[in-house]
Amino acid sequence: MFQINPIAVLKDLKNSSWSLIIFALLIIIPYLLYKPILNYYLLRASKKSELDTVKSIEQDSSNQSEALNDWEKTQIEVEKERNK
Amino acid sequence: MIITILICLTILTLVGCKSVYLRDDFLSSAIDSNYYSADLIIEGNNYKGISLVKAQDHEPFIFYVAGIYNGYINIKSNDCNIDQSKSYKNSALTSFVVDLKENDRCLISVNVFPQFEKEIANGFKWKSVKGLIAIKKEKYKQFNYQSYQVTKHIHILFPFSAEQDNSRVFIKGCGFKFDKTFNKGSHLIKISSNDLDFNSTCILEGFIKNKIQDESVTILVTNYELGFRPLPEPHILFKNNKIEILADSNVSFISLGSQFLFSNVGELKLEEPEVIIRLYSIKGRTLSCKINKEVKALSCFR
Repeated sequence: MFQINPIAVLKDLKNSSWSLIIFALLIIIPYLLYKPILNYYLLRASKKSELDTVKSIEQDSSNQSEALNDWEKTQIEVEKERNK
Repeated sequence: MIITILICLTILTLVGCKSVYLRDDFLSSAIDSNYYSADLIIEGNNYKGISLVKAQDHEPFIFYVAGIYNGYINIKSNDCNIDQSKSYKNSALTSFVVDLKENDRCLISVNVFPQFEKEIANGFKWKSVKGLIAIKKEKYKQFNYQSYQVTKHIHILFPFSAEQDNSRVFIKGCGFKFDKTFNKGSHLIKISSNDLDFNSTCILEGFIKNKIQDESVTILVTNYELGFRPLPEPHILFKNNKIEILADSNVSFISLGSQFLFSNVGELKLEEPEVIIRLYSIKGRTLSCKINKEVKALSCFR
């Protein structure tokens, strides 16, 4: 015959609720932490990316001035060669 | 215990499956690799990244730049006193009018700055997409303009036609010189990128000497880093008036006219016989493909 031992049931319940709490904490703590940590790294990456973009645009402007000067010089030289 | 683990796994899955719009691209960005990838439309022609064009006499120069989602576009040339910014919406083509005034040549930088809502951006910062337009006032009636984006260890193939035997072809610039005669017919000159000595942008000038009329030669070359990879072609499935698209997993945004997807997979309507589909990653790696509904063909330009 099947008998229920109330003390054993209580013990079992206590054990399972503890394991439930531990597992819940294992999920909740990383869940609460991952957002701020991720945001911190994304913000850092985003600031670096903005700086890189500004640097790249400035670099482009100076490269183009140089390229434009060289282009003008080359065209003069080619024109001389054409008229030889 | 098993039930608890199952609950945990379900929660973890739900957290992991949270909808994300923009996704990271793990390869190097276009702008940091000096790769020009903005879509330029000049005189009805589509150009990817760079373009060399002839300025029309006494007329302002008009061109269009394709926007990405919502944002703004800046065009700049310090030497030609050009600095214009315009905002756009729904990936619209944005027009710019430039007056060259007394300048014989100009190099115009184009920068597309897309702006995404916070919830769409998901913390990612989209790299801007850049373009370059070289404009020249040409005094010769016949001219041969070409533009190339090169990296190390590749060859430029410059096509031309000689109208007679013993036509002299002279090309100079970027630390390179070519001087040779060719017989009548079509030819290709192979120029190794390793023979060109320049920083990031360079223009070669030259001529093809013919008895009747000389032809002017101008070649725009830009230099990108060896490791950079443009986006690969997507797979397209034609379905009546729609297409099903499967693009590279790094693609975050696809636009076709005013339609768009924040995904690398999806379905889009084909409202015209010929359309251009544009794919973008957050690192500014882009790809544009012309889709012809009638012949069910796809031709992409990087």
